Amino acid sequence: MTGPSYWPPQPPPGAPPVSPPQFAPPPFAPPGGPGAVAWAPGLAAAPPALPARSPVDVGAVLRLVAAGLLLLAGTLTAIACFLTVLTIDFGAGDPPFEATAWSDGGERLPTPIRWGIPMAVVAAALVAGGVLLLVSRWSASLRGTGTAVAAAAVGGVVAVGWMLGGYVSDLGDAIRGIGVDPDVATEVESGGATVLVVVALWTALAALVPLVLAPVLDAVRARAAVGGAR
Amino acid sequence: MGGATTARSAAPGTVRVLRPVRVRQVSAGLAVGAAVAGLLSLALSLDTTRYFFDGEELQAVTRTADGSVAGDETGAVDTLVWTGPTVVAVVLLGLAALAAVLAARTDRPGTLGSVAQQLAAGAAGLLAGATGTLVVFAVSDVSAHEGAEGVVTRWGPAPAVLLVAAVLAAAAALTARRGRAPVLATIGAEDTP
Repeated sequence: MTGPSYWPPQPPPGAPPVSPPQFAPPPFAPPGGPGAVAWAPGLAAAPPALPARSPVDVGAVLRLVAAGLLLLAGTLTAIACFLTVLTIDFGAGDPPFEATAWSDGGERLPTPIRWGIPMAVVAAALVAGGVLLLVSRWSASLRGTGTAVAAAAVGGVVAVGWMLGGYVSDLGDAIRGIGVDPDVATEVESGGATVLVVVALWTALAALVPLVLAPVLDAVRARAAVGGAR
Repeated sequence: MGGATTARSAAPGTVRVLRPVRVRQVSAGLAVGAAVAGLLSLALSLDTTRYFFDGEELQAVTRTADGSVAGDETGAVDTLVWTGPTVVAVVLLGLAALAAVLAARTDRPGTLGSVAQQLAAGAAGLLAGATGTLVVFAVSDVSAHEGAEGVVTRWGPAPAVLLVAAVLAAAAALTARRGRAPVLATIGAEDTP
């Protein structure tokens, strides 16, 4: 192609220079001042959408409840280690026989039944399970481990509480059955340790309810989230 | 597992044929073994006390799982029963084995794997608690006749068997959520790279 180049467009020779177009302000001010612009007729604008409210994580709350119950059960079991397991009052002015979790006052056996050993282990397991469940609130990878440890701790306190309660109950029945002197009432009383361990047993069993419900509600929440995303 | 591959997701339009997860099948076997050991402990004794006179055994008194004392008409004053926790543990272990077998059929352990793990853990706790309580009781019982003339108290096998059951149950809990399913074949994979 010969001749002058028409691109980019050039002014013809001798024409006055053209300045670039300038922004022209509107010839009138909008009503209400320069800030108001939505004055055109039509439907009213919808109110701005509120941010979506995050639903409460019920599973996490239930895990916290279970952790609290397990910690309570562990504390009760730990306190029980320092209390009397049982008292046998033989009457006739004799001093009562007292057995604690670590010794017996009557020196009945060379080695007393040291109930405190399994009780202390179970208390430690309950506390560990409760702490793991608490920590799993912030670290989801610990959730499975915490639940398994909690289940094992509940099993442990059930076994110890069941066997200790049965032992004290059977001992009372046996001593009443072989009453040496019918005129002397021999009484076997459960001590504070036995009572606390049994209370800890039921507390730990109560912790199982939120512990079982938590994953169910987690699944429901996840399903709802997937449904909402569709 | 051999040369089989594992895959978490199948390509669209394909169906994977999976081999059951062996680790979870082993977990089910461990749970069954623990349940059998727990049941066996119900038939064994905690300890036995033998009374001798002039080298001849006069009487043998044995503590059993239901709290009765075999060989002694009068019975012992204090008894310890481990039937209840052990039976509950056996039931839990049976359920855990069932859940583990079902969980082995899928790649991910899922809910059934969690259920198997928690049931086995609970049973392990029950068995361990029963074992600990039995041991502290038997230590005291065996010590009662230490140094006595003509009386010997020996440990029975029940605590050891219960301990084995607790260890097996703990192993079942540890393995209930492990492993991945090997892919044996993928059907409809000709068109996929």
